[in-house]
Amino acid sequence: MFESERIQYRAGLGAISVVVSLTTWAIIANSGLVSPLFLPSPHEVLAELRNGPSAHQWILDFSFSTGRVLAGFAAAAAVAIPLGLYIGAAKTVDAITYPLIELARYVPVPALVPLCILWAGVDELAKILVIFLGTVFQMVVGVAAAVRSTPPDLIDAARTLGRDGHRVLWTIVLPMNAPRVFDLLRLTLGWAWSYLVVAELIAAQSGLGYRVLWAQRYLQVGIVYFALFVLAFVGLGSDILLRQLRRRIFPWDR
Amino acid sequence: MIQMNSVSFDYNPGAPADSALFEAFTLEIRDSEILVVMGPSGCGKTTLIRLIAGLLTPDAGSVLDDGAVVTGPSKARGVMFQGDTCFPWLTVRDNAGFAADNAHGVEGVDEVLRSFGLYDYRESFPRHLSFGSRQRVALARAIIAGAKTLLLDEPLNSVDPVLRRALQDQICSLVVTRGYAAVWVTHDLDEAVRVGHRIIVVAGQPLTIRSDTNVVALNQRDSGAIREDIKDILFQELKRVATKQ
Repeated sequence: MFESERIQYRAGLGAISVVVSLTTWAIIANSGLVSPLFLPSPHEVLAELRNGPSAHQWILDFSFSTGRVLAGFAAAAAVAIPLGLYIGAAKTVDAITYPLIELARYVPVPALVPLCILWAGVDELAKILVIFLGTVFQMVVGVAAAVRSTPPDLIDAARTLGRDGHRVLWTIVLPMNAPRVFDLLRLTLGWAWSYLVVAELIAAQSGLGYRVLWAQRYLQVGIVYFALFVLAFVGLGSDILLRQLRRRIFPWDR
Repeated sequence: MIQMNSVSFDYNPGAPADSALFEAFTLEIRDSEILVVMGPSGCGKTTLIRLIAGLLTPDAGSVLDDGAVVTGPSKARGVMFQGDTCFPWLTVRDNAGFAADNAHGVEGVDEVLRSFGLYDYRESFPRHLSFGSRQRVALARAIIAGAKTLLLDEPLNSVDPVLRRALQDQICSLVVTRGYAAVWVTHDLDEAVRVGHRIIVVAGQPLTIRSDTNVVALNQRDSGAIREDIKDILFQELKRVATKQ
């Protein structure tokens, strides 16, 4: 099977699973077995949507959420990649940072919300901080693990070719592990979207997470479902985009 | 010329002298000479290569490269490892020219690639090449970097017989025509007799030379019968060393 046929085959199977799930949902919701309060049917969701926030409001929600996720995620990556590189490569840095990172990694992010408000107020910075804290430690651990898996012979070969110290790290270890780091970023981007809802608990007036909470408050279950669909499809879309990007950036690692 | 003068070394510096990996070990490798090192696994052959390369520092004694003390790795001592050391994110041309000086330029790199039969693959990534071809790229890279000593740590173990023989011939030719010194670790008796000018059988610990056969001095390397005799002598020596361990 050719590469393009294989991709089409996979996409076809994926589309079938989505259609089957939506159909199952419609059948169950319309059967009357479950109250619409718990599981509204697709046409009830659409009906609620017509009376809910405007399209402009949804676009604003999407834009704010995306901006927060990207800002928190980019800041986490900017800190985690160099830090993970040095932790993975230098035992001393690892020894110093290990207890701190492991401790921080196991603190539930929602428990940090009060501190985030205390440190950064209730504006955008606090929301970005929540997403940053939710992803940065996982990224550091992942990057360090990838760096540790670098074949030692590759590093030695680079040393015999005139590279040493930091240059080995940035010109050998980083490019060697770049696909793994990229995969890690792709996974943690999903987490960043999860922490968005936590972040938008903080005095938000817009955003997809905020919209879920707003709809819950007014028992607009259809809006909750729609917002969750948007979040899910944004996640799926970004994942597909990043997979395509990976193929283009790292043609040597397929 | 490479000289190891009374080199002592152990991965655990506190180890007693009689159980250290290297204890006052002395060895000399002349230019235009391929020294083949044979011995049981784990006796210290790879450590020997790494000490000469400057990837390890002796606890005592010194390693000299043309009279200068080796204090760290250098482009002058190229290493071919047992595993694949091509940089997978670089094309064959970029791998080969990884440590090229300005004098080489793209044309210089391409010229070496042509002589190594790799020019047609210059834009390919290493994953598209066989392991043998990747080892050939690693050799070209060391040559372009300016290696004067080749340190070969069982580099052809997983290479198919045809390419293996071609690479053996290529390395022998480089050593003879360019006056390189080479240390070649192998477990393969055929390879040892085929490429070696001098073959030492070593045993550990500490590393000692159990036999030192000057194949060139026999001056009959092309004679099949003598080759078989040498192989037989080496085999008996390796067997004795393995039994003692």
